Amino acid sequence: MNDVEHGARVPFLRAMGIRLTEVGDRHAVMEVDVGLDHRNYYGGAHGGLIASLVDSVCFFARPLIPSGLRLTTTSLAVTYIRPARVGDHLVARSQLLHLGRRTASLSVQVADGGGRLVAHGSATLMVLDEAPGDPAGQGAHDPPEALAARAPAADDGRVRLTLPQPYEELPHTADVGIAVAGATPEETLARLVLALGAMLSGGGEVSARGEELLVTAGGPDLAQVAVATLREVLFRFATRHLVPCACEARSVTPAGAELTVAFGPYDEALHGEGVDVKAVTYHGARFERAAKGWRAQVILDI
Amino acid sequence: MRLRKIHDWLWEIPREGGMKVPGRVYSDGPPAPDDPALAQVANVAYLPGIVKWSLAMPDIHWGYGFPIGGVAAVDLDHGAVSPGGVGYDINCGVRVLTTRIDAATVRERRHLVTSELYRAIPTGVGASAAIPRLSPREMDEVLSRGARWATGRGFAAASDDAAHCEEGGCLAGADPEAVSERARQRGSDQLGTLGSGNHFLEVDRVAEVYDEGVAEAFGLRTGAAAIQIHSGSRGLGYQVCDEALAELTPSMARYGPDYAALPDPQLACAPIDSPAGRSYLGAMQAAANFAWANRQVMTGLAVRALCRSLAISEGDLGARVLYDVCHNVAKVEEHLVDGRRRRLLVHRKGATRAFGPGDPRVPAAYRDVGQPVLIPGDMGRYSYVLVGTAAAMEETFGSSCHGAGRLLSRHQAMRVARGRSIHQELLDRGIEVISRGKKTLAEEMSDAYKDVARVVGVVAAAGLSRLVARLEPIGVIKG
Repeated sequence: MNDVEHGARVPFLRAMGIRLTEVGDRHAVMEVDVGLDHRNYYGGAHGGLIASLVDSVCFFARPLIPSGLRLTTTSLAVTYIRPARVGDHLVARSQLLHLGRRTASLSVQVADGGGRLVAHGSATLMVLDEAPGDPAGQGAHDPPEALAARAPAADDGRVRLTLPQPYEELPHTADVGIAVAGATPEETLARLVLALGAMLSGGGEVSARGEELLVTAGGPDLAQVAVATLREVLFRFATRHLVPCACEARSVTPAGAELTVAFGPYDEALHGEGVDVKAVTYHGARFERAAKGWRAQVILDI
Repeated sequence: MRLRKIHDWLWEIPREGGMKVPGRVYSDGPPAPDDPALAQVANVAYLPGIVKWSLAMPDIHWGYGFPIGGVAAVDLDHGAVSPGGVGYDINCGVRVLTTRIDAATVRERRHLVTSELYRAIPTGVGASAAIPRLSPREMDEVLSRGARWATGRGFAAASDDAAHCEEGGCLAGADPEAVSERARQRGSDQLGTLGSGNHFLEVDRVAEVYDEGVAEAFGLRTGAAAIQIHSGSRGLGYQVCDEALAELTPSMARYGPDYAALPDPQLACAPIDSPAGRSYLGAMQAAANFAWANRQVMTGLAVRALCRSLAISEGDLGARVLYDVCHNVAKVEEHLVDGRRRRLLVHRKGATRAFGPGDPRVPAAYRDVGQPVLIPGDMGRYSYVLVGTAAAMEETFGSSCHGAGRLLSRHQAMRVARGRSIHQELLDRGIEVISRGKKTLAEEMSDAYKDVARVVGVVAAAGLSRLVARLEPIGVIKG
């Protein structure tokens, strides 16, 4: 995980549309486009949005959350200078004034797109203790081959994989491709299904609400079986807004595939960074043996 | 790829291998020989029954099987219909509405206007419920009647909306029964929704008129406000294409050696007169009608939203559909080929019909000047209205370009946008954009697209269309 991706892990910030855009040695920057959902009673930007910005941006100077500290706010003060409107682009910048053993002190300025000061504030954060490692971030952006060997495989070759799984995005001018690797065809197809899940959810957390056994007759080759399987998964997204979040492929052969897929609901607040995939194409679809295990790719129409 | 210059604006890919005809590419300079889209132009020339040329418009880019910006006409009796030659978004298209009000009036209240449009027209991932979910019977009517289904329910700007659509907003031959249950499911709650990606609804200013006479016939006046809608058949059309490709891809060889020899599985096709070919054509025509109904419902929603936000009556607004073009479609058309009238199936994938003056298929109001050709640009610059020409009838089966074409992949665009506020940059230039998807603004920014002025410059120089007017955005809603 790079520094700014820490911000995307906070559901509240995703729901508010607040993005962490810069992490510095003594500062951090968060931004938000004031939208219709941010309005107060009179139609302007709600003061709570700005207070949230001031509070949240304090946590992300590099010595704090990005360095593994766990902190909580003990005091927060906000002074509002001028109103913000729907359509405004707000930029909040925190400055770490002091970091002691027990507390951190920060000041914040919030400006609009024209650089005019909208609000300023200060916060005191209390250091709780050191956080454990960073399990969710592991390998999410490693090239697929690097992780092929790391996947857990049961004795019978079956593997149940959950999001996030490693995948690679392939360059394509108008659309987007996904590529994965796995030790077996089963693991590779499961990863392909979850790569589609990652595209649809934009990396946001997906909570499983049910499972489904998918049986796809494909043929004549594994690439077409993979396309047929992803088409089934995508149909559930297109009609019921379901995103795949776990997958166990039982068998994958050139004649067809059998998989259990767990789905969770698409939630715009959590998955707003996702891609509106509309079709899985045969164009450039591949499923073949690689130096270590298997490798597969498909191009998605978006 | 070998290329031969025909004239300053046209290059030919000579016939070789299994190509049945040469390829022809309109461009303002020699096309890059390693562009994968050129290989696709050559591949399309393998299509059974293809007539004259596999054509590429100047906005050509790499697609699936067919390049985007490709035109292929096949003989109706002996040719093949290719779902990939239409594309996933069947009857993706553009319409422009003219109005009687000044753009300045909109500009003064552009935030209110844009917000109101955004509220009125569902956008983004899985957007639904502009109108209640269609019953199976209503869906059949939409698939059979196209734009007129929507005008009949009061979604209209003026009484001649449907007449001002290509094909009157309805393709004959549509077969609702050929549209699968799954396709119906995907579309049943999406009528009147914009979708995502490059689809948009804009309020524009007629910034410049290049041809006063034609502009007058089209109802375009410098300084007036116009509305532009770019959308298609939503999930329904995608599912129709998807199922046709899945059915045809593994089984093409059964139609004979010409079919077995096609160089790309995404070029999957079937003889027009085979059961699979007929079924796809009927479903595709029905999906095209869904798209026209979709744009027509949005027309009604947009007109009402504009009136509400400006506190004026529909009479004051005086909106009417200038024209509506489809740029992803295959249509049965008659064309003069080497002095002989022939019935052809013309695939236009990312290409716009551009019939010249005097053609009976152009609405009566425009017949003297030619068919309006609507070419959207990107949300930060401009779009163009052109008019079809006699040269297009001779050289391109009456076809022209369809838009700017992407320059950067979505990923590259995100990289270029990093650290910038695209929203603010557009505001600084007087353009209000509201989008649902958080990444949309970066992916769709001007830098990600070729300059559409250059694209229309090529079709104008090559004589395929003539410039009539330029539209510039004031308020944009995106998915």
